[in-house]
Amino acid sequence: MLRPGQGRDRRRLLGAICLCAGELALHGPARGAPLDEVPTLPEAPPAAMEEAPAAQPTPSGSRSLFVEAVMLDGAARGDIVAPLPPGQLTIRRQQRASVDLRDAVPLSPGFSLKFSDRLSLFRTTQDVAPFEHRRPRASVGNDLREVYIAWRGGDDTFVEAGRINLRNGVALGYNPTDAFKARSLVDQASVDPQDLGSDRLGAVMVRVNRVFSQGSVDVAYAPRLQRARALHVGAPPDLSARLGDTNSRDRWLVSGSFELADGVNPQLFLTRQDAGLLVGASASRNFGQRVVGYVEWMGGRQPTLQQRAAAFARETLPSLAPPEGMDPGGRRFRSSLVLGATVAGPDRMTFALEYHENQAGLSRAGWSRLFALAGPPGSSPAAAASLWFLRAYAANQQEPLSRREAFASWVWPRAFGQDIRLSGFAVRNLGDQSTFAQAAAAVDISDSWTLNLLLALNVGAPRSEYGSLPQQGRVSLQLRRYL
Amino acid sequence: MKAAYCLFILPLLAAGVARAAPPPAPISAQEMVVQADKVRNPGQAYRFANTLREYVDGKLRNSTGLVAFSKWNGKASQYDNLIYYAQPARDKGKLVLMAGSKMYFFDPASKATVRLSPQQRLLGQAANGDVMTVNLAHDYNASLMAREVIQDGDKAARDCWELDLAAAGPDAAYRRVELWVEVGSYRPIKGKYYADSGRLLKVAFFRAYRQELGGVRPTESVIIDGVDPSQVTTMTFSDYRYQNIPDAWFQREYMQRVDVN
Repeated sequence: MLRPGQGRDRRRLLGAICLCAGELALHGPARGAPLDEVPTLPEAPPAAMEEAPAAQPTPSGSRSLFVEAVMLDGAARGDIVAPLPPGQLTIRRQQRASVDLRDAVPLSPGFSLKFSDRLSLFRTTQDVAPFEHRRPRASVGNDLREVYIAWRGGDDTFVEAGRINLRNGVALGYNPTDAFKARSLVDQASVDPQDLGSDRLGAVMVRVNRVFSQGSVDVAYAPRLQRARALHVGAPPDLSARLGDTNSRDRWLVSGSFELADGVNPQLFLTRQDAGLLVGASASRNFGQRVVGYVEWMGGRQPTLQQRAAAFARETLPSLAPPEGMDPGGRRFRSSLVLGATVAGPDRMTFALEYHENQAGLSRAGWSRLFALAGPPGSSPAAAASLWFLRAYAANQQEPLSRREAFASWVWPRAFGQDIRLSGFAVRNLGDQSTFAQAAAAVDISDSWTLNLLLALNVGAPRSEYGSLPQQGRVSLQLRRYL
Repeated sequence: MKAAYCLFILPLLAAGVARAAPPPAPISAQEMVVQADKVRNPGQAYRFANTLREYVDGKLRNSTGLVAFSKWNGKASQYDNLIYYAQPARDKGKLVLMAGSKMYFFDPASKATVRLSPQQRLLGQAANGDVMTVNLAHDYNASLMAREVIQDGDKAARDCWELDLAAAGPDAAYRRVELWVEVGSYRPIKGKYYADSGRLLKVAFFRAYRQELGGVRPTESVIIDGVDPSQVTTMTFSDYRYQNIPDAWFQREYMQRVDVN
């Protein structure tokens, strides 16, 4: 039982305790908590101290040299709607060993030689339509990606001549403004559109570029140097410079970029391509803290992709020229558009979503018509051959074959707090809902070694863009050692 | 009981009163931030090497060598930064451009230039360098909170002004910064950087003060990850040089032209 005044004392004591708790809340955690003092770290090892000078630029500071081994294995789809033309090659299995060098060598004040090359040894197991399985064959291939002389006039004017990989575009999945992407692909472990740009061939050109404080101007001319090289799907690589791929047409590009308010930096393009004279534009902008939105557009009076493929076949492989009626559509104004955005997610993840539209591509009705001609019950071999040529042509041009598609990608560097980079992308044909996807896991084993595992899948109904491909999936393993 | 109550309560009340009112100071909080910015940044365009070491649970996991070019952008009242990756070999030649609200990443292998969001700027390792060059006085409104003795980056006691910096506009990289600057010299000693959500992103200690480019500047920073304190990054700065850096260097199109030699 409380004595008189004891209840009041207890209330006061309770009040004091509450005040203490409040005081602690105001001041925060006690001194010495993990965020209030520098943790004890090991002394930087002597080798690490010598690394500091390595952070300084060296005379060959541009050099990148690595060796790489790649193994890829494909899983064939049983029956496909449109049979492959007799003699068409598909790769079932391949091993590749490469030496990859990129460097810039100063020649004299203002002049330098830039060089990028990959020499590879292949061992390829191929299937030959319709039923032949070939024994593994070895071959040697060289991809001379860039070799050019560069002159630097001060800090703002650059003139270059030679084979140059000139790349444009703000989107991730498709770049209609990338004027020199056509026929530049080389063998790759990954089919991620961002990776495809890494090793591609440049075009022989002369280029003048001027960079201002508020923008830039770029003029490039790539002349016709050789007759167009025929497109042989699955053909073994060789040592040729492939000028018939990169310089079989006169092409030129004039582009300019400038800064607007709010960090918007649009770029405008005027170019002559295989398709004709085209104009284009691209721009990107931040929206809040997490989102980058972008748009890319190129248009002009041009034929359909089918017509272009047919014309190319007539020029290089007449046997694959399409029969009458397979290349409808005239020359009119057509454009390509990409609308997209990237979003920064938790834990350094980034997500991207894009809408691609290629008015020169096949509509759903167009696909249906081609499958009807090439597949059962009609099964015209000529139509089937033309369909496969069209597919190869579109892939080689790096243009979407279908009119509308969606692209999504995801990347998680430092996944689970480790030196693991997880990534993936998917392309979905919005007409037939078929999908092509790739997932990849890259592990940085050390500063010099990287191991990359990739898995690609084609999914869809038999009479769909990706469901009708002869390869259902592919797994690749890539080991790279930086020297 | 009454006496015990007075002995217990009154000091607490006194401390509470002392916490509420900022202490007298020779200059305003905003001026202190201006002085702290001058300690970190030389004022002219310059370059420096940055060796980044990442530790997890006290063990070295990664080491990255960067070369940074930094120039005052009068329009944005901020430093523009161009960061070149010199090491490891896997990353050599890659570049990050941070200029105003623009941030781009360039890969010399693919020749692709990718725009990054402000959020990615806060979480990228190369962007950790912005704790060195960011102009706090322009982007933040400062209030003086207290004068207190804290541990510096070498675990020595330092008499500091504690400042609370609130973002002055949407372009500020961080929503809020708590900054401790040394009494008298206004050298930054510690900073806490907060995201829009209020989450603590990182804690940075500035140490190894040395004479560089006309002033005594911190040549080392230790950054503790606010979410996972077991992740610590140290940045060691060296090879400071004044450098003539044209504005054109901070254009997206220039990234493929960077020649660090």
